Amino acid sequence: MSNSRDRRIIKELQDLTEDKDNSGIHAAPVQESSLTTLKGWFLGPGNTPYEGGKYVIKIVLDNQYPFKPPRMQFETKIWHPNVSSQTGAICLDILKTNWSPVQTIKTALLSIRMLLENPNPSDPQDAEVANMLLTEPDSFVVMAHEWAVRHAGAPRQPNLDTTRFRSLARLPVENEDERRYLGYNRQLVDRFTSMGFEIDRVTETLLYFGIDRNNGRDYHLTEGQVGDITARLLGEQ
Amino acid sequence: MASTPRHPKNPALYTNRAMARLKLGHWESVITDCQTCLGLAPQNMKAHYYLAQAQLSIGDFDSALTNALAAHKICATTNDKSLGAITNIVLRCKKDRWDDKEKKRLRQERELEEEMLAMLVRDRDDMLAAESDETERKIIEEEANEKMQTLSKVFENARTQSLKRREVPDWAIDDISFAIMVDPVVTKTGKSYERATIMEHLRRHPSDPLTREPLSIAELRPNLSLRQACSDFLEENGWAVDW
Repeated sequence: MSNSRDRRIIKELQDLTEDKDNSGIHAAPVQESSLTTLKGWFLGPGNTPYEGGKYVIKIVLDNQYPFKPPRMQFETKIWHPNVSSQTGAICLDILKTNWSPVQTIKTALLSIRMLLENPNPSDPQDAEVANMLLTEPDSFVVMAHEWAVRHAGAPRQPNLDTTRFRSLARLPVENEDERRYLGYNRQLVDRFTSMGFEIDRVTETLLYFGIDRNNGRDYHLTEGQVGDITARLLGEQ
Repeated sequence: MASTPRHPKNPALYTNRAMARLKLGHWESVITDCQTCLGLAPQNMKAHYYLAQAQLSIGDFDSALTNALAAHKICATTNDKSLGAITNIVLRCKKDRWDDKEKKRLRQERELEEEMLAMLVRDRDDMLAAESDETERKIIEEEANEKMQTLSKVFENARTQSLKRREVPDWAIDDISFAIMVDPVVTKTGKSYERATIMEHLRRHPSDPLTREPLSIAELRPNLSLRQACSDFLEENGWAVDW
């Protein structure tokens, strides 16, 4: 009599085989005799730099499956913020704390494929890749596609859409604080705030004396200007 | 073999020996030990559990199922970790009992078929013996052949029919073990799971498998009508244990 774990895995593999043309998700044991190590694969989803690449996932099911999540990692090298570019380790909540025993090998592989469409650079596995996506989203797409062609055998896309992940890039820093400097250079203003004055009072005083903003760049004020400003800030004028 | 333990009132001595004898395949002495134990402690889970396995091995399916269900009931109330293994034994009892019935049924049908074919042959021979006209004799033979063919076809159809309707309805399947449910319990979301598997999950993560909202073992409720439906389904479709 096969135990519950084996029986469930056999059922899952049957379902995967029956549904593979529809789901595009494939999985099979590495060795006929063991249901511990499987290999899964799918093609990189359309409209991504990974499109058409064959991505192989190594799957290890320990004795406590399905009560514990399957261990999955990319065997195919991939440039993606949530996958280690070195080891293929995947950062995905459902493979860790959010696993539930009603999930299956198929749903896990589907989630991984979905991760290729929706990278999540705010919870990265590979800091270098994530940083590239955040700061140079266009270069990220070029690099991801290059790796897909080289390692996953993806067909080269002559008209690669490099703008796809721009919305994920970190916006140029323009926060509340920045606006309080009223266009003056931060360092210039901070030379006064470091004496203990409020930003708003400093900028107001700079305006009062008609101090040039110098397009937001730092520059040296004359001793006279500094004296006037300090005196006013101290309430002497 | 029939040695009496030095402390004949201690039920654990009998179940311990029963387990050893179970491993050796000495079914009859397992049964004796378990029955002695149950005489001392009627609610002894292990005694019911080992007894069920021994009875299953000697083909006493009804008693095996009764004891497996008794062990299951004790496990469910005491939150015992053997519940998963015992759920499997309950299913095994149902499967083996069904296999046995099915074998008997098929044999009976085959015997009936042979008996009826023999009657048709006898009938034909009697008629042939009383008839000397060649044309009439031919008609008798043709009619008899046709009847025998029809009879065989009817029996053959009945046999393949019972193999054809082998599909397990989704409502009977536990989404964690993918097996037919024996003792379904329902969660707050209204979804039912096998008691043994949902408890195994809740021991690790006290959360609903679908919504991940907090869920404790105490919040589970038996789904009595589903339990009856699964039980009825298995009664007719014992093969489904190994679907």
